[in-house]
Amino acid sequence: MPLSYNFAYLDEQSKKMIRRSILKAIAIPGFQVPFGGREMPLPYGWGTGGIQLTAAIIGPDDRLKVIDQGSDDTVNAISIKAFFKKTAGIAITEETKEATIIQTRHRIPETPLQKGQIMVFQVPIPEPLQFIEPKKSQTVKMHGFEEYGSMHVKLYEDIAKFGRIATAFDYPVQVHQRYIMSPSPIPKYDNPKLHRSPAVHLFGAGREKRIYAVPPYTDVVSLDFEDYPFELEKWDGACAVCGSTDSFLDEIITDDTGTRVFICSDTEYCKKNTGNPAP
Amino acid sequence: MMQKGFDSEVFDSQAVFRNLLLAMANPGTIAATGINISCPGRLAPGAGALLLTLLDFETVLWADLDPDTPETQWLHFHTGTLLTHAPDRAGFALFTDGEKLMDPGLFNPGTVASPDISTTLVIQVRGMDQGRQLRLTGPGIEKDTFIHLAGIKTEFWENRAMVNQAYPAGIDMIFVHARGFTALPRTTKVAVY
Repeated sequence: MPLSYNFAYLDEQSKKMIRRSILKAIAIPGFQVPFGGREMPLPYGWGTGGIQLTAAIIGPDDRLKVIDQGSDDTVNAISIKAFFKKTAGIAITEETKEATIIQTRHRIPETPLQKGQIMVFQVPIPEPLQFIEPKKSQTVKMHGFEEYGSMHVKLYEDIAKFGRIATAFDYPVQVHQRYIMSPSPIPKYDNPKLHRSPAVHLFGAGREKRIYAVPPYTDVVSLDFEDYPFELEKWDGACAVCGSTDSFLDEIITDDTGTRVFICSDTEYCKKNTGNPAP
Repeated sequence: MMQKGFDSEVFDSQAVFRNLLLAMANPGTIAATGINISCPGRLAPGAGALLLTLLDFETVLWADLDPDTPETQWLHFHTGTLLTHAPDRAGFALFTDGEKLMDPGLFNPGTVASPDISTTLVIQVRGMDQGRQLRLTGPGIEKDTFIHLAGIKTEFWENRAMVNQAYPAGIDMIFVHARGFTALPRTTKVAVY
């Protein structure tokens, strides 16, 4: 570990500021706490919010897992792991069960999370009301006074146009019967995993400089209507690699004649199912 | 001479914060700071460790102490925190004597638009095994959990419930005894038995 960096890159005062925001985020589930987001040595959109959260909480005894769309081996996951290996000398794992901190871009692992584990989500757009009301000064008031009617109108417009709620990812949720929150662009398949989860879920948006959280055992309800209830996506087939029928599947085109297969998005879960556990 | 603070600012503050994060996320759990530290005067090692972890030149601290006591001088020296006499301007408040708690409504609960600008209370109690039984429910608690905090009057819990009725505005609290502590965010409902 080069001595030119402070442990986990960020200076101690920046960590303190982020830590105070994390405590407030946990105390007010789903509320977006503004924080003094720092410039990180990589561009916005590559997980600067998540990296700042991880840097503020990580210690020398942690085992870090990083996934990008469910995969341990894609470019964002690899580079974030390299970052924390270099700046903090952190132990890396691919095992969901072994990890103390799991930083993620847009998935929640299929293996159920446990008490004491911390999920860190990278969030591109933290404001679920932004597509209805672009002014931040207004959305702050809408959250303050629980003015959420227009969010249901947006879902209703989907039903009017497509006959169903067409939102498939970043599907809005209501947390602790109060705040409407963006679960980050996870597929809606992962939304129920947030509901009363034993783990702590932290969300970091670097460009927008917002931190929010879902504490353990907290109600997280996907918005819906009585006659159009929230539904999970289903697949006709099973994973072409491990045969799983109970995991989120990615569609892969395998040749130029349009042949396609479905495989697990969670690579660690898939490897385990085939009897080749992750290293 | 000024008494020293953390052995390691980087690793001690990380260890303390991590335990605090999990305590705030699991209200009523009795956590430990996980480090060794000795603090001046009436400041318990748990409270000292938490405040060194959280305070810096951006924070404003209110304490039930005079501004020139060894406790406040030590906190200011190691963190650079500002001190205030006005409870409603404080980001953090320290009670070295939990038996002389004030109405939490005197502190800043934040606003509906900015509930995060509220005061966090750090309260030293004389024990966590005596006193009325408290039943806690809310986010972070699977069903319910029970704690004891010595010397906290029933009236305080009534006042706390009044302040937190304005949710999302409200006051978060951390109760400390020796090295141990437990956190009660504003979402935790307390029933006194």
